[in-house]
Amino acid sequence: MTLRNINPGIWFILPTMLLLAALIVYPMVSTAQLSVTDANGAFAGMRNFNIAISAPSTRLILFNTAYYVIGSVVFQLLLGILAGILLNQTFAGRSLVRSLMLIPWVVPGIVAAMTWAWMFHTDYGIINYMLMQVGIIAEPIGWLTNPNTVMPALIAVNAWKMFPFVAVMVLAGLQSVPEELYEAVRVDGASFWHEIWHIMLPQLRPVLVSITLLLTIWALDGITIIYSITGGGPANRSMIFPIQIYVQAFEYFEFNRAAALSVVYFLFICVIIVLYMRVFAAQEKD
Amino acid sequence: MRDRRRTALIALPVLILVVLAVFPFLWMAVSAFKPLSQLYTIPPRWLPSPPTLDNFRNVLFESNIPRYFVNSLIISVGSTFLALVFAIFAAYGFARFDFRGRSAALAFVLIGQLLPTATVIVPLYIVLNYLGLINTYLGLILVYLILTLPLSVWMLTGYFRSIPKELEDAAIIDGASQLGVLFRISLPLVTPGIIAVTLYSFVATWNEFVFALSFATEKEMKTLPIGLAEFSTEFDTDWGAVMAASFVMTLPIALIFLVMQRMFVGGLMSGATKG
Amino acid sequence: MAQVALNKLVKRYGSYRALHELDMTVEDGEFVVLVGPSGCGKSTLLRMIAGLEEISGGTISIGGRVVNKVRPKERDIAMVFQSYALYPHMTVRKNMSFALRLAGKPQSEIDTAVEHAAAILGLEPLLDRKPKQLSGGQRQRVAMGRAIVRNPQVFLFDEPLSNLDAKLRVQMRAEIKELHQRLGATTVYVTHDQIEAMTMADKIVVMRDGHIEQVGHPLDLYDRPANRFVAGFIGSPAMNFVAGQLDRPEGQAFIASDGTRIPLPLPPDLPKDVDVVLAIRPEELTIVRQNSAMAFPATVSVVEATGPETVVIASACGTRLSVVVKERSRLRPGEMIWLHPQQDKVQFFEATENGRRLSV
Repeated sequence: MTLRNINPGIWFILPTMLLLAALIVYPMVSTAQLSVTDANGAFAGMRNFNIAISAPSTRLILFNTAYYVIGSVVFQLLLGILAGILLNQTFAGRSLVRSLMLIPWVVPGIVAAMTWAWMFHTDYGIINYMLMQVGIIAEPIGWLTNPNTVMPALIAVNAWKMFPFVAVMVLAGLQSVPEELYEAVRVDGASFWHEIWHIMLPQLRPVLVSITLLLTIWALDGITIIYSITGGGPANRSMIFPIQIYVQAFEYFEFNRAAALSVVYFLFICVIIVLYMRVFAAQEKD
Repeated sequence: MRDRRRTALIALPVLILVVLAVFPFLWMAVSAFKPLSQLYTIPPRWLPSPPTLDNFRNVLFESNIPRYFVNSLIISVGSTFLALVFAIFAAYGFARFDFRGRSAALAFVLIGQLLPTATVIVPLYIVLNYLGLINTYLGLILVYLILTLPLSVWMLTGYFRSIPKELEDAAIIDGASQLGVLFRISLPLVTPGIIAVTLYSFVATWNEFVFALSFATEKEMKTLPIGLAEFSTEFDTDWGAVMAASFVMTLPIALIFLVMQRMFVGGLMSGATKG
Repeated sequence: MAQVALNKLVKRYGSYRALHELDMTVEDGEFVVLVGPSGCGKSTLLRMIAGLEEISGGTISIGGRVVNKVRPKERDIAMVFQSYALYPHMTVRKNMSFALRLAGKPQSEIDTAVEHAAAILGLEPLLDRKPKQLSGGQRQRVAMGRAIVRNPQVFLFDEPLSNLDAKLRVQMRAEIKELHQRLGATTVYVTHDQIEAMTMADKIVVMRDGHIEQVGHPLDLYDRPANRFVAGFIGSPAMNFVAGQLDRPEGQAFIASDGTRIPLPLPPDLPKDVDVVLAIRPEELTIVRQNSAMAFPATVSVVEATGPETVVIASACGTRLSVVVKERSRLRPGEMIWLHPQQDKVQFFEATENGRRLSV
């Protein structure tokens, strides 16, 4: 095969593919290599994995990660679907409300984190004040310092940040439902709840499946909010897997152990990515 | 009759939704204009009286925030532009040519877009360190291509695909070369896509936290998100300054959003964004 | 001299053969229409002549020069596309001058060429508009203008009228034909519409499944189709076919497969014991109200009056036959009639799926 016979498409994508290979493939291979060697580069077998996994904090971190991901995704979906259905109704000022709803998603993650940290402030936070005014709590709660409230608080921030994404996708999904379908069930005497249950949700199913997988991947990647608000504390109660990788590497300088964690983390993420791509491919086909 | 009941039924949830979405943002803005004494009072005050610009003065003249702002700007613009240049060619190749391994390559791009940053920070640090690129603009610009390049390729491929093939055939008959077709016919027609991709890349890099935290550790090189996080890691957080800095950081994003809302939502729907 | 000649031309996509060793010549100045059902390979063939598709085997020559490896812009051709393919971000003027600008022609020459073409097509008032601001017919004209500007040896048209409504299509048909008479350039025109082929072509090439079924003057194809496919494809309403055998021993009648007897006073010189297909055009059947020695029975199914003529669809011989009559008809569905074939027009084909015409 001479150079002239190569499809021009290859030439067009080649620079990008090389760059991505250097930025993604090479680091991944290198991670795998680091994970089975020690600090001097000697082969260490599974030792890094064993140390990383048998660490006393591992169970807590796994639990936290699952807690954070499941909690975030559930509330993002719930809030997003409700908002999407709501914004699909006709009412005055709808387009303004649609724009305003996007604010959480548009605000930089770190800004959202800082703002909520201030709102959750034990003494001067507006949240404690409002809850006390309404009488739900009797005295201030240390939302971010109490081991039992820190995760729910962080999940709330993440749910707030991402629900507009779900809402916009749901809205788009609903707008592709032909109006005749709603009219047909109304003629058949269906209530609004019937419409939601029998028309909207079935129509949204494919969208929701792919959103759920995306949200899961993003929640698993959720370093920004947690690290900047609590740094994983108090006492590791909000430590999740990706932050642990960062801490091992850049605070303890245990690069090999961090690499071992990265490999485990990557394999897990891969499962979700593969699922997502299958769903994606199936939807592309339709 | 039914309409009026429906309106009433919808008004309350809409109100709750708006408050939920807007309140934290407003609270940030309000706090940024409060003097110290009004920030730390029990019960909290709703509005600053009188509003003060002290926090902004602190942030703009007595902190490193302006420097971080410039750093963020250089890195975001650099990475966005670099990604765009590469992505235009790659996306055109994916959209217009059929070759062996095309779908595998495209899948790889999608994986790159979904891949969490934490999986690659360790080896990237080692490589950048080896190349002497830690704490340099170039280092972060290159690393940020992990965010911007797959995203740009993925989005632009869709835009290029929507151009009818016959247009390009016509240009070839008219005597244009392959590159001539790209630059004289296809590229002008995907201008909306170029704008959307630029905005997305800019916002993604502007907001990025983890890479900046790991690879820009010196004061001179830090970016805005890191600068912002720093305020709170100290024991004595100056919340007024944090809120003012947040305000400053959100401003460019808010402006972009206001001008380009339609495109933002369009891009959002293509599902092509890292949180 | 710009003759276009195909010699054993083959197109393969992997193991699939899209075109099978085609041989054909378009003479200088000739207007040739490639016609056939979708998927027959006619557009692929046109794109190969244009240089947009690679040639897998055989040769294409334009003006005596083999152009297999010649790039489109050096083939001295211009092409008009189905969607017109006007560049949306350029004005009409820029669209028309694009090729000349790419070729680096001097501005004065470009202006002259564009204005000349615009004058021919009546596009002068539209030169500074964008394609979006034009109607379908105007876009069509700009697409032709873009082709004319280059003053090519060969014009290629790829279904250029299929996006227009019926009325405009008739008008543009005449305009293209007129343009051809004026410029006298060799033209290859692809369509799936046999009426376009009949009305415009000097020569029609009927294609199916990557083969050329027949090449000839429109009326020759109409009167003497080479096989059942061409017979059925050319003409509307389509030619009638009746399967059966010739009556033994003299062959003075045709016995349809359902037993209906069609009298044939001029017995054809064909074998008597094999299955054949009798074919006759709808306008070559006459309706008579009473049985006669020359007619066979039928039942009226549908009567479609179009104004100048009436199409009667009748059940007969175990199939449906269409009959076109000039006079207004008072026939009603269910009525019994007799059909009288014009004797010298009856044709016969082999009974296979795409049977050849049998010479009588």
